[in-house]
Amino acid sequence: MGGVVLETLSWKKLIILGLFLLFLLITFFLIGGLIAPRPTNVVHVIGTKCVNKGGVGNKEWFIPRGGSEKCIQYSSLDDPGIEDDRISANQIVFSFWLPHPREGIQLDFSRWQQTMISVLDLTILYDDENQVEDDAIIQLDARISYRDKEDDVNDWKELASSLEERQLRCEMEGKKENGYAYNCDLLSFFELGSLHYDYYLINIKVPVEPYKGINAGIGNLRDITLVGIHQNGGFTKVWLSIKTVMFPVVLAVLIWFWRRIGQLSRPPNLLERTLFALGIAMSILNCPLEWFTLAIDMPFMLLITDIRQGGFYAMLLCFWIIFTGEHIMDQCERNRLVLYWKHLLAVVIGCFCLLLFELSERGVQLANPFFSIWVTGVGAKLALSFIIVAAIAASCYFFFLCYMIFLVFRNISAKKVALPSMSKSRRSFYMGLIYRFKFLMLATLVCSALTVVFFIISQLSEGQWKWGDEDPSLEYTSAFFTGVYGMWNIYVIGLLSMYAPSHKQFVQGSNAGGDSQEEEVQLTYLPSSSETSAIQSFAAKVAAD
Amino acid sequence: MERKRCEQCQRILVSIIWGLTLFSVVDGTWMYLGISAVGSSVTTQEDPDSSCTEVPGLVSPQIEVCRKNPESLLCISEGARLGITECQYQFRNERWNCTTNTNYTVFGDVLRKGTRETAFIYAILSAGVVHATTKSCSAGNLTDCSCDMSHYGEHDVEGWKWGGCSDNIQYGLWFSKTFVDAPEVMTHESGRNIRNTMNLHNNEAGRIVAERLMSLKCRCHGVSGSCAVKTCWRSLPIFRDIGDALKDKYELSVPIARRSKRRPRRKGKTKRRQPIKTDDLIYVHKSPNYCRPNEKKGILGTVGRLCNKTSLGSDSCDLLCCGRGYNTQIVTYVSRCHCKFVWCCHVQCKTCQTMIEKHTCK
Repeated sequence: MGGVVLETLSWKKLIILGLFLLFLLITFFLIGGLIAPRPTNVVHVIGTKCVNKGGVGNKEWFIPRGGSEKCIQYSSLDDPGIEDDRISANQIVFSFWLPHPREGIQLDFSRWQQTMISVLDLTILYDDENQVEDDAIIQLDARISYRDKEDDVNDWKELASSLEERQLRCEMEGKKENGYAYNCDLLSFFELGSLHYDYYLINIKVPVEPYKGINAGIGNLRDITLVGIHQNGGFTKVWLSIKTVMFPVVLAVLIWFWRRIGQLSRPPNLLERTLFALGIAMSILNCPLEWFTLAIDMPFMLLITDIRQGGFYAMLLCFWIIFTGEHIMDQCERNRLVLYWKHLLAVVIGCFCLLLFELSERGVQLANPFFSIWVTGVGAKLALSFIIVAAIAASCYFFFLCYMIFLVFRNISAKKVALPSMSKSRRSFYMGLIYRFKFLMLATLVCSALTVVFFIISQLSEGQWKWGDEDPSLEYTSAFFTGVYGMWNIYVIGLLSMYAPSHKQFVQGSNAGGDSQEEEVQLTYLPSSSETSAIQSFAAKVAAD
Repeated sequence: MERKRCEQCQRILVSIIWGLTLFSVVDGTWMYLGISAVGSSVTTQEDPDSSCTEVPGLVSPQIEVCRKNPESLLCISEGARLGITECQYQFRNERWNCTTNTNYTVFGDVLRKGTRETAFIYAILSAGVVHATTKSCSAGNLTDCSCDMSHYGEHDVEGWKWGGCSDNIQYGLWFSKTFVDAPEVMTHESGRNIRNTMNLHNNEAGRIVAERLMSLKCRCHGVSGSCAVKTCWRSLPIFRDIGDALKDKYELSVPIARRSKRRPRRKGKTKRRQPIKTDDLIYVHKSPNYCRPNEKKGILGTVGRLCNKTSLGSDSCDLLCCGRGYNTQIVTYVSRCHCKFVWCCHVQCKTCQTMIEKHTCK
């Protein structure tokens, strides 16, 4: 019976494999950086000011570019016509038709564009006598509808409608003079989990009731700009291709791994089961469910993607804890999940909080796309408390993890002292063993560090706008996504293949005794029923020596 | 539906064009679109294609733009109007207060000389066209805006589905360059002239200032709304900000040597080595003091202008009246006060009467 593949591999093979994985990783980055466009782009629409002549309860749609019967239009709210015609605030409808016409053609959304998140950018001009009040709340009567290309031009079908309140946070930075603009925070508006239809139409009213104080303190609102952030079709295509390729690959490695374990005469140990679970979580994340969105309207896709991603990271965190725990070379017997309850509880609590937060934000958005947990006082407190609890759980987790890593390294260095007293071949074997364990720790660290570094690079490249016409030759943000995604895939594949039980028999040096040879080559299984890794067996050996 | 909208545009446009042609034209510029664009909605059945030639002061490349895309003329007149209004706001307290006359020369004879004021006018109107065009693209009023997907090697609809559309300002800048620069480029080709160089530079400066003032706004929308995914875009400032920035540039504008050939060079020897930045305003001629009316130069003078007795700035009676002194009148001023605003368009006010002192230059 053999140890795990990692230990039976020669240095040469290990290096070749390492280089191959590195090459794969670079490929992933380049696919994202060179082929894919930016992950998201914006549609920037200034609201057309239409006049509602049909009273407050009028449910008709106001369509910009729909002719004067669908929108009696004013170019701006300063238009003297508004005062002359005695138009009141309750009659003004800001209407937006997404997307734009371009080069003479009315563009339409593609299902490849997946999702859209939108924010409102208000233009409020300073007016000495009509300032924005502190903590002013703006009430918006918002409706959204959709239409397909083939439909009749006026056949807009309602998707959602809601009366929403948003907190205005506006500041005057420069001169406080009439005609200068406030600098207002963006207002979150709606989130659509699927872009299933070709056109979207949004109508916003800003109803005014001076006696109730509704929209009384919002200042001199002149314009509303809607910024719709959609995923790019090209990015989805690249992303989905990667998923479609990686899904069967990881699944194949996973099946191979499980069959290897099935061939053993013993039941699988904890580390192997955890690895298997990690492989399953990866496969769930890889599963290219997005193909269905091209045919079926699946607004819950955004939620599912988030949950899948959360599930994978939770599993990864659990794996790290168990992996480290199983390599602490003390005499304590482990290999039982129960022993890790403290650490796993931190992961579970953290993830559960984030799941609750996710459900109360994006879950509710399935019913009302305009919903945001942050806009109400109670909701914001609730959301914040979820996040704080999750953060506390995360810091507990990292404390546990760091402590366990510290234990492992302390034990390793303690055992290293005893190395010179061993025979030559056994020494080289154990030194290699420790080195490979460290190598894997290093791989994990490198992966995590790379994730952080690329994250920072992509954030910087996004935040800094390059002036002028030249575009960056590399799309850093896309490279970050495909690269990091590919990296964790490679990481999981690497772990599954390295930690699978090996068939190979070790040819040992003559110095070791016959029965100790049997012990040495088993990394994760000792005949003396203490199911520990080879490092532990090595520890026992040293103790015996 | 598209066609209906277009018809509406064309009607307004044609009415503008007809309004313009009432004046028989000799020496107008496109800037005239800015003061004549008080759109009266007279409907005519005239074909806009032939009407483009009748807009006063347009040179042939501009007529070409108008023919290809009649809607864009609305943007230009809106842009020119923005520029002129802003110019008048910025110079409301100066001796030269950006006066326009009602005829097609717009700024009278001020533009004849390459002064700082001329530099400002060119820059602000060029920026105005950028602003109006960009805004029109965002509002969806101008269907001809480009998506600019050239760097993806794909065009129009497919390009949009692959990588979305680029900033609207790119089109605004391109459009302003094509239209506003056209007269200068034409004369430039026939024979290089220092004034052409100056105008082109100032037009470009206006565009650069407009582009630089765009603010970067970002939104995080990663897993659970975290900042793992962040999208940024540039948004257009209000035109007042552009006006302020250009006024600052005006204060620091650079005189250039008349003999500068291809590239403008600084006048005088002290700062010759210092290069002229692309967003600096440049001028050739020294400004007159604008104190006394001079019909020949198109200067109205400051006689009769309101001044501020307590101010120390350029609107103070000392400076504005050029030391000629001022008359003081006491007038009853009826104004709206204790107003209660309701958003959009309603104000409930009381009327108050106050006695104020009014100072006018002699």
